[in-house]
Amino acid sequence: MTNILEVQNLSKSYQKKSAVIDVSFQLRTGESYGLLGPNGAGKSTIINMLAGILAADNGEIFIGGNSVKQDRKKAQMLIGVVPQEIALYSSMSAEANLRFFAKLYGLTGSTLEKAVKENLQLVGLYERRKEPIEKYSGGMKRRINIAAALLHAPRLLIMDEPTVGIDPQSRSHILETIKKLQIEKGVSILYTSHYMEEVEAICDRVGIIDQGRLIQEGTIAELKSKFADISQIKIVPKELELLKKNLSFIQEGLAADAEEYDNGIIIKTLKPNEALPKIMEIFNQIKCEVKTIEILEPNLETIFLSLTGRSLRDD
Amino acid sequence: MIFANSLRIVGEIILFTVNMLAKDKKSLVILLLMPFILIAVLGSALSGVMSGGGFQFEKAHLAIVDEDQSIASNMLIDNGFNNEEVIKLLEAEELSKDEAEKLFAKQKLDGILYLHQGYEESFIFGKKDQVLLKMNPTKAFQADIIKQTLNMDHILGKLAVDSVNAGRALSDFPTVDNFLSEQTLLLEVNKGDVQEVTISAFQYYAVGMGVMYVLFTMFTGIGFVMDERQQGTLYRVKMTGVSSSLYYLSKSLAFMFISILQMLILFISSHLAFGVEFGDYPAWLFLIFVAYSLAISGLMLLLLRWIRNQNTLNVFFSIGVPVIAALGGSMIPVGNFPGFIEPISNLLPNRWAIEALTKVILNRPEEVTSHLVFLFSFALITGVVGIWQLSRREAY
Repeated sequence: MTNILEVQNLSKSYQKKSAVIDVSFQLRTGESYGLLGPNGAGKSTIINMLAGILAADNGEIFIGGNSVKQDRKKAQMLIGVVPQEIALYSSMSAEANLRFFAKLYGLTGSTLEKAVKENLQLVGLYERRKEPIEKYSGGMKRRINIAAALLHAPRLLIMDEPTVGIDPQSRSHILETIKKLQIEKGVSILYTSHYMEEVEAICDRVGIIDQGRLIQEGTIAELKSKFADISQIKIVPKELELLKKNLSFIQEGLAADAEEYDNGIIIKTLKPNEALPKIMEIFNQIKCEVKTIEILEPNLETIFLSLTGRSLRDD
Repeated sequence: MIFANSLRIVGEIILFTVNMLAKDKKSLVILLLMPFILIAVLGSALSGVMSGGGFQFEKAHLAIVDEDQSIASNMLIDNGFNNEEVIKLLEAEELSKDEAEKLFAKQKLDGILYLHQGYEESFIFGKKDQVLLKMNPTKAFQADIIKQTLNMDHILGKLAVDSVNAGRALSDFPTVDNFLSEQTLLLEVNKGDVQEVTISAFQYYAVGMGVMYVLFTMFTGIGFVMDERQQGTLYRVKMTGVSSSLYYLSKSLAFMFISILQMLILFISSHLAFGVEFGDYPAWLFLIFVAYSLAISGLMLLLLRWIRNQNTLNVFFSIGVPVIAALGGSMIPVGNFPGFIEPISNLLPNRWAIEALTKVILNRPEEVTSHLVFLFSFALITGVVGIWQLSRREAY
């Protein structure tokens, strides 16, 4: 199977601050790839470089064999980008928006009409095509945002958080659309999201990015098996300061790794059920009341946590 | 092929932008209704307080240097310049040569008329003769008044002052041919003659507001582009393979067309609603609309490089436009400004547009060549520098 996307040793800095450091990955034709990382990890910078909007300091990107550096226009014609914002003219109708972008892509006549109609139908908004975008719900706006990236029938669709802030119904519609694109049209997908369940549902492979570096890569099954021995216990105390003071005491008492995490600590252990009574005993000793306690089974979220010590979402 | 494709894209972006603005009721009200209301308010207010409805320019100050000291020269001074209608426009006083030239150098005079020795003799024998007229090139309106007043048959007959050009250096002013006739001393000025040198308040504010609101249109255009930067539509446009420079050029051209349309609508509606006359040369007016709109589009490209956020735009919109408009003469004619402001005004395209439009309204299109040259050059320079700067900043 050929690669639709090849990223080789990509780096980018802004005013001496590294945003992307030596990132390499490939995307096979028809494959879907999830790029995971918290805000500021470098995902959007990578996407902008793939889209040919931002020049890389170092490294190479090939889309369908075309170098983005040397054959930018050719490469751009092979990709569709769904940006995080609703990048549409809100006072204009969905149809007017799609027609405009289709014309800029160089489509004319019946090809243009067909592309506009098909994509409106694909996202389920053909009946409401005459309405201005500003009258659409959040989910509908997101759907038309996707349609606008598909007008020129790209082979690779890059989606940057395409489901942020929408209702479950619209999310499910979008995920179905993505699956349909992948299965029926063979479109390859590069997907970024904070929602692990979405990534698990859509992506064949995942790359975890943190502080500009790609720190882990593989299929979801591979990652889960690699981190299978890591169970985590997440404890949120009533008094965080008290807990912080006694962190080394807890680590010694449990003989396990304990790390600060948002408003609590994460304890990594192989046998969480055995560790629990001991944890309670130590907390009693230091007179620290527990607000919540949770055992996290290995999933992308816990894998991410264990790799970076941080959660994917800020909330 | 590439050129045709670029042209097609420019056309698409222009059409879409105009269409988008047509749907933006708030902007439409600001750009079309507001100037119309202001023309009505200012035009009516100034017509009401002034006799004859004319715009009261500051009087022109003319010194007469009578080196002849003859009966003929005295009659000309006493009767010619003391006429009631002439006094409304021109303040003429007899001064010695030295005194007149000192005041002229200090810009306290707008012109000097020299009646040389032998003036009477020439007049009696009906000879061709010469007088020297110096005018201050930075006081365009006052220069116009002097020129027009002297041109009246009743004062100096066919005094050829057309070679006195506002753009020439002071030292360069020529001695001009003067064909005096006996009628010269039969002094009776008709009101109609005086009207020719004034422009009505409605005419002036149709021009002034029209020109000022094109500046607002330009900033509306900058606002549109900034929205596109922020909302991500510019990103999406770039994703289609359209280059930054083509996109910015298209946007500025779109707002150029909108500006031309705006001025056309304003002039036509002022004519229909208030009966404002715009002279006998509509094609020249249109040419100036085009030149001015193009100049402002160039300025838009230049400013787009520097205006990167809403706060800066707001400052430009609320302070920059009124100041530029005032300096360019949208509120009161530039001729009424203190001398030190004139050089600043001379750099502004709106000042040149207002002057050119008023000249055409006064049926003197032959005098606007330098104005057109300035406006087209301004458009070219700002446009090229603006595009170059924007492409450099946003280059891949």
